[in-house]
Amino acid sequence: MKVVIFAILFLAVLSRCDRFDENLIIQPLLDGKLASEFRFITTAQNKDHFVVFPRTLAHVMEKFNVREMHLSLTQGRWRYDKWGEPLSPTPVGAELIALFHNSHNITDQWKGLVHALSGLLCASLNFLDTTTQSTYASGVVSGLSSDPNFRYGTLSHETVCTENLTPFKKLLPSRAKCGLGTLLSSIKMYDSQFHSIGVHFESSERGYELMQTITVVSDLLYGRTNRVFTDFELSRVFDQHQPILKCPFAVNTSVLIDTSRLEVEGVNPFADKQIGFVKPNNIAETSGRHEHLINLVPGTPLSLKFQFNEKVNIPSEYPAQIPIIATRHESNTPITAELSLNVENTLDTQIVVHYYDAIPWYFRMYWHTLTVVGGKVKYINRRTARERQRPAELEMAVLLGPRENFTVSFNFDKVFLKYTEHSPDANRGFDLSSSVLYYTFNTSDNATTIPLHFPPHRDINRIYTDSLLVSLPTPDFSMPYNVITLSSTILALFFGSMFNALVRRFNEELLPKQGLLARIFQKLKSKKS
Amino acid sequence: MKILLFLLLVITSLAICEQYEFNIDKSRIAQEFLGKHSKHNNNWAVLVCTSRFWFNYRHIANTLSFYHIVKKLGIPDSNIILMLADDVACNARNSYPAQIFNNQNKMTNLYGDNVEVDYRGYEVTVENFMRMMTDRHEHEVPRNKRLMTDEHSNIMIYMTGHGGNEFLKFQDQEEINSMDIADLIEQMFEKRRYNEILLMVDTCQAGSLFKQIYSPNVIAAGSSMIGENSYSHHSDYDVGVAVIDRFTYFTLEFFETYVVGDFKKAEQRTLSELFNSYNPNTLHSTPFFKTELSPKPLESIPISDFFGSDIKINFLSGKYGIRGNASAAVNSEPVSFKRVGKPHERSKPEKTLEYTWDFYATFSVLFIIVFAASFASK
Repeated sequence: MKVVIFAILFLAVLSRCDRFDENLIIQPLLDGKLASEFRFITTAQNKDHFVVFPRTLAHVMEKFNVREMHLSLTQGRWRYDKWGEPLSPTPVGAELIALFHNSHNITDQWKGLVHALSGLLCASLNFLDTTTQSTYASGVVSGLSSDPNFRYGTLSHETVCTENLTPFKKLLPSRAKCGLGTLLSSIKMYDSQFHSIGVHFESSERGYELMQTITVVSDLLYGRTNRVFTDFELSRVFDQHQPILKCPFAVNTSVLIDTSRLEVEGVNPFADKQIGFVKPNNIAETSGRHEHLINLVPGTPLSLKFQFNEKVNIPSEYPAQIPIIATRHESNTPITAELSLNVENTLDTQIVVHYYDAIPWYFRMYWHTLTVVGGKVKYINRRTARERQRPAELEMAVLLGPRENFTVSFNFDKVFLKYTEHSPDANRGFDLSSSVLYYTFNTSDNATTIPLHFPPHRDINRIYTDSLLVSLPTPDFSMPYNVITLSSTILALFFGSMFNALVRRFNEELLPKQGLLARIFQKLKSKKS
Repeated sequence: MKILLFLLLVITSLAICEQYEFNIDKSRIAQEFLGKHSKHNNNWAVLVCTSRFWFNYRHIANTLSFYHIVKKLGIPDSNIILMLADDVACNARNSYPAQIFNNQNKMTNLYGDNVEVDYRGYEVTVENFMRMMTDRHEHEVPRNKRLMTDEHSNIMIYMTGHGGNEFLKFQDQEEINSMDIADLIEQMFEKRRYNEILLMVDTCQAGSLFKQIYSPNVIAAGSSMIGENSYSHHSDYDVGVAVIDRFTYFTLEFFETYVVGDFKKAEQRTLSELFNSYNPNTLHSTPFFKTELSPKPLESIPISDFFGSDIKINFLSGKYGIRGNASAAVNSEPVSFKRVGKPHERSKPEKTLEYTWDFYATFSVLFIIVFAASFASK
């Protein structure tokens, strides 16, 4: 009997193993570009033994007690007005969101995590370290209405290039050597309008889940002169000349072609015209109105060719593809400045916009100048900055009527930083990281605050504004040396002459009285010599 | 009595200290240090580009050229510390995104698909460089930013940027001077962090940087003498800037012709051959070599002591079967990776375990049976 129980237990343990799936979502965009998102999902049900789950990452997460972690490295702008809602919203540069299992010693855990991740992904995330008080990071915050176990940090000026993609690929079980990974060519990825790398990790009782995403907006769809949708091959977009073969590591490999973004009311370049695509016959496909799902089977190579059945012009102008348009700008004088955010509702319905911003301490904010014009403010939360410790935080929710817009603005002073606090290229200016905006159509009064780590939800969407570059008064860096040399010279001259003047005695020289014999003797002596 | 004892203690300790203070015989220590283990058993490379901004493209290309050489000759990424002060590959001014070339023929993309930059952008500072070399880090600093060498390590250090008499500029903001470099190497020597060091510097007045070095077993090569400038080799009109410096270009040429290009004789190439290959007329500067700190003659030092790695490879006897999941396993054959190395080197295959589910399954079943039996016997 016991043997049977053990056998059952053993089987139960054996069934808890790792799983790897890869998906590709392809969305042609209305302005002739192509958005594609790769999603590599690795799960481990056993937290002690990994088959395909990256052990290096799991070890780091375990060590620093991470429950949930979202990291993104992005370059380029997601054109919200032209492309619509992002596939996965990210700000420019690096963004790290972490939720820890407990808030005990959270500063040390965060510090360890950012250093470990910077090593793991060749990114300068170590500047998000709170204790060095580096001014490169726009601020590590805990969010106003968030859990105590939460930390959030952004680095707007983080570059993203092949050195980040290389370790990213090494986290994949396939090492990007088979399946959809073969499409990840660095040259094509970085020759694009927008690219973003995401690493999303979650630890729960069910085990570990890791989703690695890559979003690229390629510029390949049209010839630059004739603005017409043209046929294209998937392999050409990613510079891969071999057809895609299913990776033996992956349980499920699928390609989803989603043309919903092309068919927009009022524009309709493809009204009732289907976009065709050519694929091998033995690969099954499930189709909806806008969506075609292709599941790869082992041994059958997939090559995809998109065909636009008729010549359709790329519309040069069309309405905004997103319910709210947010713009932020800074009006600048050398010492004081004003920051203002304008949010416009493009729809004929009511909408609730939540706004969150973290202003670094070196932009000294004047709260009394905070003004909100338009909209109906539901709540405002704020926290003042502390010099060299934490940024100022502002959180508010505004109810916007149809086609209404609201503006939030405040003044801030630019702080004179210490000589050593400037970055190596100080004259470039300082980055003010993107503000976070959530919008929801649920306008009921009980809509409360939305924490920063709010998970992607069907009712609540998140977008980011552009980051800003603000120039701070930069010192002349050779000045200290000039000051030292000049002041030393002055001091030396002053001190030398004063000391001389003070010490020297202007006395009448008193010659000793000598006798006659002695005088004669001296005269003789001087003559001798 | 107690006071007397205390005094005695102080005096003896002082005497001991004095002995340690003044009786250090460096050459003896050096011999002890090297005598037993005259041969190194691991190789490291530290490649530093100290210049920021797009117009210093060539410095990044220089550094990446060396990165390519050492990687091609077998030093793995884990033993290479690459410091690049700016990102030119994905710079908006680069008309070849994610690519860096060191020649206008654009034969090799130095940035490739596999590059790991350990210190980049603002992280390239004199402080970080010195911390990395002397291993004085905060404990959070990850492995890839540490130079984990020991007394059996040969280190190749390559630095490039803008310099002057006895200094090298980091990022338009600060400088490292020849005294710092000398102290750095002496600290490394005292901490037994190297067996031999080859320091190569491509910058104006590079020779002046070595002036103060006094630690044993250091060979230094600079692109120019004190008072001389180092020049770039050529510009690429598509990229729009100079792509490589002369000293690095001719070093690369030597490696391409005599080492990588002539693999059979690669092991016989010595440092003296490399140093003699430089021609002051083509370099437009006089290369400077500091060799007196190394007891070995240059003719006896193979190039592979610094540019290459001694890696021991253990071969598995069986296949490394991968069956990620039941459904995947049904549909596909397990992937077997090609074995590297010559077959005759594997005359005695080591018996190793295949880490597959089969192994775990059999092991677990056996374990359960034994466990159950012990229960039953009770």
